Amino acid sequence: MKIKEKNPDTPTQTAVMELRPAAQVMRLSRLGSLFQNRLSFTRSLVRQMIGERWRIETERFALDDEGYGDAVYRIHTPAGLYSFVLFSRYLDPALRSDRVIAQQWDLAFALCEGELTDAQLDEMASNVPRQEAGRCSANVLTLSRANRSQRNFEAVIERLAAGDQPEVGWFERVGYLYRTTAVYGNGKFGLADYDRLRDDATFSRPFSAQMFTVFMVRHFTLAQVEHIAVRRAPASAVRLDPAIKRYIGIGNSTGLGMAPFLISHPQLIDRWVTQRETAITGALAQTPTADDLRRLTQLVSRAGKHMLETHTDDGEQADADYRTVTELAALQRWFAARRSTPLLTDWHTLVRHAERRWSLQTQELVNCLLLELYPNIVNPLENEMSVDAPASMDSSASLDELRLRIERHYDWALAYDFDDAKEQAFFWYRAAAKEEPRLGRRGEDSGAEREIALDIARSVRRCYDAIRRRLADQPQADVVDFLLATPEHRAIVRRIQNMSHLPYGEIRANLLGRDCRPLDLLRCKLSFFGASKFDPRSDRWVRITLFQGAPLVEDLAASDVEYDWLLPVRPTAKTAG
Amino acid sequence: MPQVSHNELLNTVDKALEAMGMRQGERAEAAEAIAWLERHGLGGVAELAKALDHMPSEAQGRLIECYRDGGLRVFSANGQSILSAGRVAIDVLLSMATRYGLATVRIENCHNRALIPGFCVRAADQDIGVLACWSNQHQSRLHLAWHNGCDRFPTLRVQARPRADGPDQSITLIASRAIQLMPNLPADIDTHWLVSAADPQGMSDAERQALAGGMSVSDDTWARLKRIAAGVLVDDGLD
Repeated sequence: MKIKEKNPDTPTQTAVMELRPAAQVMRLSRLGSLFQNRLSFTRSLVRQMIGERWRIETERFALDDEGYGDAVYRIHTPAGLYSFVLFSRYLDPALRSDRVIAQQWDLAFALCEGELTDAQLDEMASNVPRQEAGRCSANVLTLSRANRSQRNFEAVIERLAAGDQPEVGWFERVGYLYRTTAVYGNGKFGLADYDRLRDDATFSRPFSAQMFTVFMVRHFTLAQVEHIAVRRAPASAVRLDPAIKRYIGIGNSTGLGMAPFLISHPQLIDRWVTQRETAITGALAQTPTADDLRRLTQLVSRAGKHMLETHTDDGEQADADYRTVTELAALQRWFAARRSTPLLTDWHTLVRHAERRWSLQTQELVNCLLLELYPNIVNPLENEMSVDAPASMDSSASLDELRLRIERHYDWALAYDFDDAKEQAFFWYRAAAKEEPRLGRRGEDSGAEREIALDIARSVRRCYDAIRRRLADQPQADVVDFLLATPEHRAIVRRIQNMSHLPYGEIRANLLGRDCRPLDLLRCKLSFFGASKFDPRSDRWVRITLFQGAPLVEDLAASDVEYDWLLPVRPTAKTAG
Repeated sequence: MPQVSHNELLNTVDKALEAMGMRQGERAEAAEAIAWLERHGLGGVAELAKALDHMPSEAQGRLIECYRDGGLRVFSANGQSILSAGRVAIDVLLSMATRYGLATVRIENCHNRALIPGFCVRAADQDIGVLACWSNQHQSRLHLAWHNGCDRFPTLRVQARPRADGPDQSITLIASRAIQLMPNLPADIDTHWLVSAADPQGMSDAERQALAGGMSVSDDTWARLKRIAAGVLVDDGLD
């Protein structure tokens, strides 16, 4: 299948399927409406674990009556052996915090390559619980920590100890026992570089090691509550019902720290979005069958339930979710009208209808549901999510050619008026507290002189103006002379040259503007991770759930087929208990 | 001696150079060059440590053109480090090599020339070979580095040479896509004059080791880099 992006400037050379234009896809408001989908990293990982028959063994589970102690798991994959090491320590409730400045956590854990010696375990015991303050060796792939959801944790143990199952509804609102606050990888604090994982057949996909780390801590937390319940009441305690267990994921609190990644890895973002858009285009090219319609109707019904079971105190998100619920109901009616005559003959009709009438969130949810119908088209794209192309620079190019590139590919950036103070209302900076990226108000907060360069639109504008001035004096100038004279534009010139053939690399928004919603950046990245239940806690941070509804470790070996866990809904009495 | 990862080194150097006032594009590529050299066992961090003393005053420096002709350009770095000017010098070289087939850039009065192989890597990515040559009068050494287009690694040689009169703080860079630039060294060079050498196999081994176990950097330099890098942070009192 040959596919190209729809670009009004480039004539179509072959009969190709056109991807949606970047001007539509890369708007921040649309990126901030994405959902977990078939290509999300958690979904890919689960398919990989089942397909490759990973074997996960408990090597050590040395917890006391209160659940404190250490655990070590061995993970056998076709490519090698890995170890997951976890330390559970008492935490004074007064010190329990999801803020990045926290220094102690209920759990601290790491994923390592190979089998660990006692000396390595001792070293990890000294360093892993300290997280950013410790050091790791290069055989450690990821480092993370998690805090209890105090209410769920205690309530579940109490119920299990009494011989009862927890209320399923508890996990509808808070779908986890623990929340992680950061999952470090790629060389941080001495960890293995991503370059080391690039050739690792197990974890070469982006964020695969990080997602597996989250999957493993979920496994531990489920085992931990059962362990404590049994120790508390050996005679009466019961195990968690498997259906309820699957409905328990891992929470995550994410702040602005995630945002700069999307700007500083444009080639990778282009790759992720390209695969997603290729999948959507591939799905839209199929002719709907009666079975497809039946399946999609079921998925829409599930999506509606999932949205009803998504709770947030954020008014804007709650309104958006409610609107999506009503639009999904409208979609069901629309289907009903087309189920008989005339039958829906192509998916484009549906997507056009959605684009005309429904919110961005509903439009993207419909796209996400369509991907579920075509695993054979979509799944192979998961192997194309990495990129290994160093940024280059064509210094011999003419400056006028660079000007044209800007006008053609960065018209969205030139549309902002940076003489208007509202377009530079914010600045991004790194806080002294653990170097966390934050947003400041220009003219009010200190630190603007140490601004992080996330100002792509403004840099393009400044560069473009400088190019025009130079060309007015020297129409034949080339890029290298421009850079010799004005080296301050070097970074943006390099970026423009590298990105102008990668349509989905640039998020088309001015991140300094008063109207910018940083939460949209977070949701975009988290959707690729595979997050569900977006719950903004302010305009700067969000809580989400990972792996809710996913298979359990014990399910991996028992299943040959792909597990269907998109948009999880509360297990019913039939499936639980 | 701390073991640091490539990414950790890259980020720390980038922030340190930012804190010292170096421009965004230049510092990112300077950090890449230093991390590349260190990862391949070529002492990028040690050379950076030498540069740090001079950096604050020269972070915003630029090359001054002294002479220009078809295929030849001569610049003065005005006594500054190659750190900020290295990449644009390579750009000039590649641009001329593309246009004229063979290009020469000479930079007068510059320091930390040992960092130049880190900047030449991108030339090889573009299938253009680069030869760099400079002498160190103080140690009576001649440094040669050549990187053939498409090769992953350069070859480096340091040879003894008679002490010459007067300081020579220049570096000469030659590039071509069409001509193999490997110097034709005298047959007895290794036995009589060779002081040190680094070849692709050694660099490949160093890289494997760096990824497997991290890179050792001196405590003092690492602490100094971290301290300087902290200069980009803002104490907003919002803990």
